[in-house]
Amino acid sequence: MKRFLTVLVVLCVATALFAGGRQEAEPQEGEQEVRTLRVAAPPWIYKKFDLENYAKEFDAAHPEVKLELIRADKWGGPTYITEWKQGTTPFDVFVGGSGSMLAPLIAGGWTEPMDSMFTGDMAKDEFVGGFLSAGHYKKPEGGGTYYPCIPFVGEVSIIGVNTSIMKDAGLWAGGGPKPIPGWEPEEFRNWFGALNDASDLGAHVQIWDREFMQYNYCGPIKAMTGTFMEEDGKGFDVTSDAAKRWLTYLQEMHDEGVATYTTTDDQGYQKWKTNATGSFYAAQGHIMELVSVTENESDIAYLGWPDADKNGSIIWTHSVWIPKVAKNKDLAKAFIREVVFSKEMQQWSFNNYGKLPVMKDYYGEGITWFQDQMPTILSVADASSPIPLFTDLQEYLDILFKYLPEAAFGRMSVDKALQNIQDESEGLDFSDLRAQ
Amino acid sequence: MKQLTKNSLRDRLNLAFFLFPTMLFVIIFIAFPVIFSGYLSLTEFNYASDPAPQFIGLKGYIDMVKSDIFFHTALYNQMRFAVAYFLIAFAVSLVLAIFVNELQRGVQVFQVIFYMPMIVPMSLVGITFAWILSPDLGIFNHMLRLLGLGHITHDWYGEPSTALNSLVLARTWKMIGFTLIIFLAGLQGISKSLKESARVDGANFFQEIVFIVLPNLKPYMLIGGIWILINSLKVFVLPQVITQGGPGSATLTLYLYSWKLAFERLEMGEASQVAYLTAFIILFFTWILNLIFKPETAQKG
Repeated sequence: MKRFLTVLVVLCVATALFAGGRQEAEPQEGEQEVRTLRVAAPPWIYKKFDLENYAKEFDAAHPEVKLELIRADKWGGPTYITEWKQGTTPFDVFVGGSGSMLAPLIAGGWTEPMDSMFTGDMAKDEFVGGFLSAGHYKKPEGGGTYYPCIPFVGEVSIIGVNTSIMKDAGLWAGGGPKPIPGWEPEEFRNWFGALNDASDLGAHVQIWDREFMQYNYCGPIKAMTGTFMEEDGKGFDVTSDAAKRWLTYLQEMHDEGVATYTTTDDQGYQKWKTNATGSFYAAQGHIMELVSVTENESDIAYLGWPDADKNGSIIWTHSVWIPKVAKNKDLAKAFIREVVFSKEMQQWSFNNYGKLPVMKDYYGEGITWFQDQMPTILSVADASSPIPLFTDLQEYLDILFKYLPEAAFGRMSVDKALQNIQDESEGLDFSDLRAQ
Repeated sequence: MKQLTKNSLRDRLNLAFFLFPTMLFVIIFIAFPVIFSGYLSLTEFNYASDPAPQFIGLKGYIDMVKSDIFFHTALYNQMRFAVAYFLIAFAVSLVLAIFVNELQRGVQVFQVIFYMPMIVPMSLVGITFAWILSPDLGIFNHMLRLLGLGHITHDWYGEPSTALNSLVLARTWKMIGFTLIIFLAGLQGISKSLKESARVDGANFFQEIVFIVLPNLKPYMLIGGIWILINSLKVFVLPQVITQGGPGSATLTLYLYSWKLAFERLEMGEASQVAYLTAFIILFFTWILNLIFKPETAQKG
């Protein structure tokens, strides 16, 4: 009897473990069929877009839809692909994902084309040009281009300056910061030298982790020349005079104590938020974090590198996308249009966290801060472009990360660093997933 | 217990029934992944864009060993880490075990104190040490400045010359407790009469350690050494949490490189090749350790 009961218990436990799945209740006769829409997003999207609150409005407007919000604590590219290969998906729409995160999914053709979304308020010319270009890709199977995702939030790499320090340094005129006059050595050094004299913790901060390294390197070169790419398109510019000049400036600024380069983004933000550093080259939204310390938006102003208003800088975006195997694509698209691209949600995010809306119309009425800085930010963003998504981008970034910081930190000569990058990246596949 | 030599069918079925869940677990979560990744290591397979793995035999291994600069870097870093960690962890845990063993009182208290870091998750250790060694806000640099040693403050994790050693420090702090317990068990098993005889013969403390304690501790040193060795070659969490393999690739380890290949580049074939090469390296060094400490001592341990 005891043995029989033991066997019974083991069988019950095994059945519970392996049976799995819960059955959704079948709709009763006469009841409207309720469809479930599963929306996934990383925690920071929930926080910085108040997604849960704005999603409630969609819920209320669509009683035939049961909305399920999912927190994707970790990006699970391989996990998602495994389910997609079986024809199932853990979500119907995903709000978030930068270019490099999405690249493998797009290369494998796992996301739903979104070209049909660009109508009405979401027509292409309603977007800030640079941001929309980040969602434009070549078709994996060839024969044209398409939009496998839609950027919904943008960031631009730009210089933030501490206005008090700028005034102390004599770099303030006509109610705004005096721009860096140009790229010639003397005018460049003089500007940063004056700022350094007025800054307790140095004139300039940059974050040199693996992510920001590429923006720090490419953004100023693009401002200088209009492009950050090699002429043959095989990688970033490591051979031109502009490349050597910029890396030399970075090294000199570090060696002379004018600039601090941190190895983590957290250290960079901490440095900037001491309110004792003259300038910070980083994502526009991160620069705004100083206001959380000083509680005064006029403590920050924005500048581009010389000629960035004409030639642009680097932008990057996060996008919203639908897995190709999702069943409720029509609901997902309705959610994207009504919630993700709603003026209210996008302006709320900017007014609270500085996340740049991607629609031109959202920069006017409704924006509650930094309105005087918007022309500078938008002029740089509109001329900017995203980092290409090379097939071997991750390997290329590893090579860049091996040498560029070494040169910037003064541990390797500029020529040697650039030559090493050239040598070690030969043979990589620089086919760009992005459309031009 | 009924003797199985009677080959009772009922006994065999009972045995199979109770072993079945464990065997199922081993097959699904250990045997299958090992065998399948062995197969993947002989293929070229991008998980996102290739429909199926393409068999290439040993070509992947040959290309990896011959021309993958990141594999070479990871291997070099791993060996540097392993040597430093092995020597420091081995020596520190042995010295501490000898110290604790000599105490008249409080042995168990010290055992607990030294073992406690073992229960702290490695990721927490990484985050904590990142703060301790932070160049501006870290307590370590602050104490150096207070002691008038401000000239040797560093960005410990941010500079290639010190980043790997800073990881060694963090890992040693966390992991020496286990080998200390092993060595302590061995020390407490050494007969007191041996040491007393040596003292009567005029041996000093140092001679006692070298000629009495260490030879008798060999089996435990083998076990402790193997454990430290395996841990010195399985380094993932600390560089992942603190440095992401940087600065440059100064803290790129074999496990971290395998992870990057699998989860950043989605190159499953290459990731499996690195994993298997790491396993072969572990086996090789385990064999060397066995030769040094002699096989028969493992049985005594």
